[in-house]
Amino acid sequence: MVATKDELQHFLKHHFGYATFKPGQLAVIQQLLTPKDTVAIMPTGNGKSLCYQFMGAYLKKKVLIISPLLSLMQDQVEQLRLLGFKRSIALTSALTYWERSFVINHLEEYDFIFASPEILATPQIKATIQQMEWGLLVIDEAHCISQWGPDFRPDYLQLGGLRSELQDPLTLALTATATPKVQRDIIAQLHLQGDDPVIRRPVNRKNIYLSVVRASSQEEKKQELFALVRRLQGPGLIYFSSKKLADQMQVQLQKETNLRVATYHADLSKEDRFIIQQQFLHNKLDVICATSAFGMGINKGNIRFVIHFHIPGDMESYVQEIGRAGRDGQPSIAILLYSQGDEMIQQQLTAATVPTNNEIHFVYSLNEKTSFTGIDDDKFKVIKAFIERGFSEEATTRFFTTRFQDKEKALQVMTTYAQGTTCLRRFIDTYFAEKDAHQHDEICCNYDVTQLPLARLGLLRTKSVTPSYTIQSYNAILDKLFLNL
Amino acid sequence: MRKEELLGYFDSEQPKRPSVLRQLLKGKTTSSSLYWGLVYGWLDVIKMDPNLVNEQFKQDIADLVQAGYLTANDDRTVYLTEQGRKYYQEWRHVHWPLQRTKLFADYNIERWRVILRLLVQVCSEFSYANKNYIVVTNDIYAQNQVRRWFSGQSNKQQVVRQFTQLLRVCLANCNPQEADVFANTLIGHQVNGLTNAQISQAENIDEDDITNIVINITNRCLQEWQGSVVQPLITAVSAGGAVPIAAQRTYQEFMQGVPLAKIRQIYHLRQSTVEEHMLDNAIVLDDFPYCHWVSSELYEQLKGLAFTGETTIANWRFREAQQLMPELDFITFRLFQIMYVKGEKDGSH
Repeated sequence: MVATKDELQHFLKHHFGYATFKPGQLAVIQQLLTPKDTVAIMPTGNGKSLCYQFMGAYLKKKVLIISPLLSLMQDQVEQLRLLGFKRSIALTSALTYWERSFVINHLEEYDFIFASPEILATPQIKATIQQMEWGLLVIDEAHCISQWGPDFRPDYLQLGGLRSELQDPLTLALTATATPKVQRDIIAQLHLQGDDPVIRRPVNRKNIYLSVVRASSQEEKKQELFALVRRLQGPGLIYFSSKKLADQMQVQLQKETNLRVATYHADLSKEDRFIIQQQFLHNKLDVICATSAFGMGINKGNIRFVIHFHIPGDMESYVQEIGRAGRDGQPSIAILLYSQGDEMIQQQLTAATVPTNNEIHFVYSLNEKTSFTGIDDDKFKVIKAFIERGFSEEATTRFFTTRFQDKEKALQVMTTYAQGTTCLRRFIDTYFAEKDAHQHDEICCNYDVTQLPLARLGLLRTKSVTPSYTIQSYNAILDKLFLNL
Repeated sequence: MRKEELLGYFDSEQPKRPSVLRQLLKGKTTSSSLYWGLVYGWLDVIKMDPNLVNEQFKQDIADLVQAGYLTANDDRTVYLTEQGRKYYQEWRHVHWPLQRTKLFADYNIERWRVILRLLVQVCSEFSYANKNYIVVTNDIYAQNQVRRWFSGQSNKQQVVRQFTQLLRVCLANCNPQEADVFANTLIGHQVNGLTNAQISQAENIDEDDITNIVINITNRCLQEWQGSVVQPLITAVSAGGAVPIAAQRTYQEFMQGVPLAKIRQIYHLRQSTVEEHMLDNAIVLDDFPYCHWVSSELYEQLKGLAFTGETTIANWRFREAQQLMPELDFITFRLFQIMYVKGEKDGSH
């Protein structure tokens, strides 16, 4: 199928309202239309979703999107519906029995179907999708398929087989970050055809100033945070490693700065998460204190700063999270607050999530009828997933030993970045093997300076804001809600 | 449910078993828990807290005993102490307990709450002629119900006007502060709403109280809007009541003249099961036909049984009663107790 650039842009404008494609989107779409399987490595905010939305609308064929993240799927379904693609659905384990039956029995009526890998393994659902004709198969967060990546999920290993069972449909694998090793792994695991299916956009976002601010203690780090948030033009995100700290800091930040600060993490109800997202999108909030759950599906262009209070576990996560800043192309800043010893938090998280040899042996030795395991439920599930996929105990043990070592190495990379004695941007480029002839300058990063050039970047707060959590009278709210008909 | 709220269900004179409260709150109704729910005056709490965690509940009771607000007896009942009574009185002056709790048995209140929020959003966006918005809930059932109801309205403008009026009148009947709290949680056209936590911070009210205020007004809406234009949506959240569906069916068929032996046969039920079905209905209904089992003479005879030790008829055990009256069967005995307890409560004794 040969379509000209003008034709595609016209279609884009007519169906999606955009005058032009973002960098990389057109190349991905043109390659898919060849038709050719494609691996698109594009940073967060580069509009990966539009690639498959466009394909579904253009080909007028069904699109199956496989994603590991429940909340992301829900967000994307809502965004599609907002664009007018009402026949979109997320098929996940969060659906009730009644809802799932309804959706499965009406699957043919949907154009965009999002599904988690585990639900696709259900015999009834697998049988249904095998009988359907697919215009495009999308593997979102495709790096999850790679054992060399930081976010490997055993469920993703079945996707290569699933692709074959669906008669090898045209496939688009999407990810924001992938080292060359992970890239090769994605292609191999999915059995993608054709020479060099990869279209890659640089991870480097020139409009995001990179910085590390070092503190000698946690208390000093907190004070640095307050000072930064007072000075910085918002809106902004602050990432924490724990929900508890996110909650605590939200209260303190609100008090210290008089800004509109909300917290966002997995413990919030679905409704509260919806409200916070909408408030943030409509500029009713200045700062969000979040764990990494936040932001994956949020399409907000004017986030001016992203601060990490804790060092993330790996460079891939860090780049994804700071990538939420400056999607409008305007100057923004990423600040990593670092205090020696912060690595221990990530080390504890790793210990809490990666099964030990003893735990693996214990689960393998259980008989099927045993339900109580005495080990962390998530670890049990992960080990069980390996057993169900036919991994031997030895192979599983080897995998997690390597995994543990990989996580240690990944953390060491982040620690080196945080202790930075070299250009931070070049450090990231090198990590992702990006061949960008980057020249460090005063709006690149702060590795060689102590003061952040906020004025130079235009990031000093200009307006003072009064907190907007004022309660309006019910009549005033009803008057706003309902226009007189 | 907060542990302080539990104090409101206990008494300084009548010992009560917390395990019964726990079962009723969760909606795990058995004939036994329903009976004791009747005796303790707890029939209005059925299904109030379906997500209650057993261990947490037990811990809460233990904490209240530890604090001296309840006294635990050897038979696993507890009394409310004088200290507990005073503490609870003060507590409820500054907090908001749940109201209209009987509705929890008859309706899926959580689902109604979701439907109401969606309804507000749909009507709001319609009033602004906007079709492009992200819906406030992922609940497919709620989405389908509201979509079906709204698309079936021939005059949508009128329906939206009517709904707006219903909402305004309902809130006007509430305490103004509570009405304001509720309204600030609503979402619609260019109205993002506030979370309970944000309202809690702004009003300096406990977040749990905000939750209860919202539920109370949600329940109020459900009650006041019976028979209105939104009745189909209320019907869509019916939960069947306190008595299991099978028990309701047994009772309905019995009332249509089908003998219990026949009902047993048709549905392959044990004798004890159909008897439990009848007892469950006797507990919740006001007009149960006791006379089929307990004549007025038998009633007086049973009242006069010389139980040794236990003077409270509600606490009599069947085994001991049968020793005094060998021809007595369980269903008759229990129906007598239910009649007696209800008679005590409505003062007809």
